[in-house]
Amino acid sequence: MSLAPKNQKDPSCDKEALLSLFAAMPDGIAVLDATGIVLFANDSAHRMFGGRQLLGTELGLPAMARESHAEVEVIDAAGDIARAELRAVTLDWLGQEATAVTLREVSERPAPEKQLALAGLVFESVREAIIVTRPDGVIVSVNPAFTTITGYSAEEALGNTPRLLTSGEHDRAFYEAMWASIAEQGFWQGEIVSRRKDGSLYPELLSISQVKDADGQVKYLIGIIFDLTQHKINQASLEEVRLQLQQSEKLREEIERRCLVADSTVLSVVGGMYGSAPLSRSARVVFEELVLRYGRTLELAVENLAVKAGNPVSDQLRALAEDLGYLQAGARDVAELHSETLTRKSKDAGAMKAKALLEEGRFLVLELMGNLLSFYRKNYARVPAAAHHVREPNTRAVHSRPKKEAT
Amino acid sequence: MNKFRLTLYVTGHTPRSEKGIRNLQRICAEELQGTYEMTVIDVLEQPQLAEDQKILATPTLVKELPPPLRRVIGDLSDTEKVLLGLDIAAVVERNERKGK
Repeated sequence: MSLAPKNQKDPSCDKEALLSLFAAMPDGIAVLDATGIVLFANDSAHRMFGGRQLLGTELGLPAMARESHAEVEVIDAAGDIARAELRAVTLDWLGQEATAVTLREVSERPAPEKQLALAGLVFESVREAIIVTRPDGVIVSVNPAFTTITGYSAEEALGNTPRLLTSGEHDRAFYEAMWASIAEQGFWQGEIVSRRKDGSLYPELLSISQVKDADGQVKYLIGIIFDLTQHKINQASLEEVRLQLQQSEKLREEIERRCLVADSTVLSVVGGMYGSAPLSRSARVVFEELVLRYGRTLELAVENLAVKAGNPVSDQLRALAEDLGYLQAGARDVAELHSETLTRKSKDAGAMKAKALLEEGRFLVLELMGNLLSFYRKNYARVPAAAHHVREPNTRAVHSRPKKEAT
Repeated sequence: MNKFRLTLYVTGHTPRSEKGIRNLQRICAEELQGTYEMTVIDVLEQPQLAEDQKILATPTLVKELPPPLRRVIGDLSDTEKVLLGLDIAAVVERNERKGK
């Protein structure tokens, strides 16, 4: 008894059947002549080359070892590039020697075994300690970072429970809340204090997550420990910056004191040109704008420091000093402007940046002060009364504001 | 003596590209003995050149000189296939005969 129905043609002799087979093949198939010109290409090949007309174009003869394949990049009509595996066989094609090539798209996603290897690599190389426990808390796996952070070797940890690390710093209620969160949400994260093998305590950020199987049963708990010791040190240095900010207030006082012992022009500069109220109170909106401007200049100065950006910091300081001069600002205003700007800028900055702002700010405030002094010297030299003016109340209206010189 | 002008089109600095370049260098050194100019073009850096030459895949090695213009694709690991595909084998043989 024949397996094929009698009324059906032998498909191997049917051209349409073969063409539909080629068209349906997921791999790109092309037949090349002896010079590498495409004689035939199936639908998948056309799709891979992004709708290019392949017939008659020169792909090139494959040149890799026999019985082997090569990884190539396929460029489609839009210039997009995809990876593919290229194989080749020689054949007789309608009486002439030809080469048939197949192109199979290679996904960029690693194969499962590679993914596992990758996961293993991540487990081994991350700086966070990873602890895997059974639902009953027994540790089944730890990574090298666990040993680095806690001091316990893998052998010491395996079979033990994370109670190994208990510091005694947290009460029963703390742990009850933690386990309640894990039971309800499958997750907990928080900052806790743990104990190293050597007995020392250290702060850590701990995340605990449940791993469930397909039936929803908890199989493992995974704890990830981020050592906060260094982070706390950074926080401490931020505290140091805050202390330095307080010192900048002292710097302000020092500037005032130094200015007081300078010449009489400077004397008048100290408290505002005419002994008026500080800008921060008399002209809050203007002062705010000055804070923003000075802040921007400060940022540019720090940027110059970091990347030699060549920002025109001095030009901006001169312009700022000029405007301060027109506002009849004094050393007190400059110092207030300086400390207000620094306080705001440092608030959102990291420890390193805050330090840079503070250090660069010291130079900036002196330059600004110098510019302001020059401004007053230049503009008041021809007004002796003003130059030797000693601060007195009710003299503000006597002198007009200096005119900007048209040079 | 005919001088070969060869251009290799690759995509980026990947191990695949490096392999193609190494294989070409080896073939040039062993088979063409100083009678070649070799250029490597990264299609990511110069896509227009690849488009102009209608490069469909990388690595593609194009023999621009001497005629005929020929190209091969793949990692170039089979020297014989590279020489045959580029129609170089005959030229090399001729050069060797002349040298004798």
